[in-house]
Amino acid sequence: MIPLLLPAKAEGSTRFVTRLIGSAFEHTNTEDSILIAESGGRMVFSGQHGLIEIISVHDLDGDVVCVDPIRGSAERLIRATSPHNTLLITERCDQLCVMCSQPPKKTHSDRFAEYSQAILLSPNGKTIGLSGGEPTLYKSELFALIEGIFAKRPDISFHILSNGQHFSADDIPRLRGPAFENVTWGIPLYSHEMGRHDEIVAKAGAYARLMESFVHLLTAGAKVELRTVLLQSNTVDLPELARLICTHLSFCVQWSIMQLENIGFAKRRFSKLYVDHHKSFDRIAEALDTSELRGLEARLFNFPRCTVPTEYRHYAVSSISDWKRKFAPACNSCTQQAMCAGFFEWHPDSALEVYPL
Amino acid sequence: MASRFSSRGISAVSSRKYLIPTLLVAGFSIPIAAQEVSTQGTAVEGADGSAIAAGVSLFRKEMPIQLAQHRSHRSHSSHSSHRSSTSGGYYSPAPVYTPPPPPPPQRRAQSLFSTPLAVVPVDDGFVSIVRRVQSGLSAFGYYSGASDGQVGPETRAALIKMQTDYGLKTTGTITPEVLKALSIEM
Repeated sequence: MIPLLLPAKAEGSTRFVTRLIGSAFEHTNTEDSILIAESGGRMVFSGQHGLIEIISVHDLDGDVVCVDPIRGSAERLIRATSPHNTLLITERCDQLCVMCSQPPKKTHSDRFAEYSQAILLSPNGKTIGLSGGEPTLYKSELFALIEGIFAKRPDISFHILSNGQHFSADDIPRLRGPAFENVTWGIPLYSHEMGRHDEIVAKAGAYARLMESFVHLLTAGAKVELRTVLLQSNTVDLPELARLICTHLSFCVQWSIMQLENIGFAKRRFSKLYVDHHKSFDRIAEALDTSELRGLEARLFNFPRCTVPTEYRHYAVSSISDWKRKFAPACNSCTQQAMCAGFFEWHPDSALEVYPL
Repeated sequence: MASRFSSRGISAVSSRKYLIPTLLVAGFSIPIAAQEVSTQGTAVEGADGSAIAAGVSLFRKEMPIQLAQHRSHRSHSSHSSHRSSTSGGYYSPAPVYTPPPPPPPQRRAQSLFSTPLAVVPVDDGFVSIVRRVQSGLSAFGYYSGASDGQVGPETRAALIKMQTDYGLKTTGTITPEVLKALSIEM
């Protein structure tokens, strides 16, 4: 696992955001901290916020960190070389999905200002993931962040995970603005059956409210990626769900069928939720066939390539973020590892069966 | 290292395929050639070391005051008096300091950071650097506390005072400018 929180020492007592620069020749602005000393895993930087010592074996050049002198930590908000940078907008959520990988909390700490600073310092052309909790619980701050960044950094794109419970007709004019051309919304839809979807997200009326949001998003010309986590309860629905999406939600840019992440709520319920797709792929195959025939871009997320039948393997993408991805020991001999999702760091070792290609 | 920038500039020009003939026709070939000569001149001066030295001398020129020259004169007891002196000549181009021959003009536009802070191993990271800064501040009469390696209120006050006096950005922290001014180049 790539650590995102590093031990650090810094001056003062106020938390601050800075970009770490390994070479003084790089373009610098006032928020940069320059590497001045280094020895085996310990680096000292100097910038407007003073000296920062960070313990890390990883290259931090160009990373944007949030340094907390009191906690003695440097949080890597943006890793310059990684395509997987996600910022947690809030830990609050108004759904309680059975397999939630990041169970919600009641407390909220507003980090919009820090995030905005960090994104402005990120490398050119980055896509930043925004996640939660439910980011649209803070919709006005979220929209302001997106518009604020767009005004200064139109090269930055966003991928925002949202439960789609809070879009309204009032949002349409704003969502039509140029800032939102850089935004893709990743929204979960677990079944074509209203009752089943509501049961999975543990919120009555969620399905109906979601469909209302889809109307607003469609009207606004928003880019939407649909996400369906594979569960024992909804596997049987996949072919019908594919039909629903192709018929009524065909404006969506992608449908991602996702394998379960063994963390959060799913950890305790793994055996009740997990579907071994290697043993039963029929429903998934049918859903993919429908998508293919109807022109819907479908993808398999978190499916190790060797566990997917050959003719469907091209749907399986390297979806797991680099910092939480692992491979089985036998994967070392596989020729397709670079294209493979691998496994989540916390995937049970008992379910690490692979068939190196 | 200014040579790196100027040679980059040249290659940027030559990569524009239309521009080259146009510029040549317009008589711009001579400045470009001159730039190249001056670039080579810097390289001929020596290896990296002298290039850095040249950069440092540039920095000295840009700084309103050069503390480094006092490095070996720890007996300068009157430094504290410099603090209140806004008209003592320290803000005009350092009269006591004879700068080396001026660098090529195109270098002037470069920022403080174009001179690299050499990165070397340290045993005691943060703490040892803070100690060195505190010693430096003491030597110039800004700090009377212990060189304990902790950036406390006293150290911050000393930094603010020193930064104010020498026209540096006032942050109360150990910035690259402070390290340069105190000649702590690791």
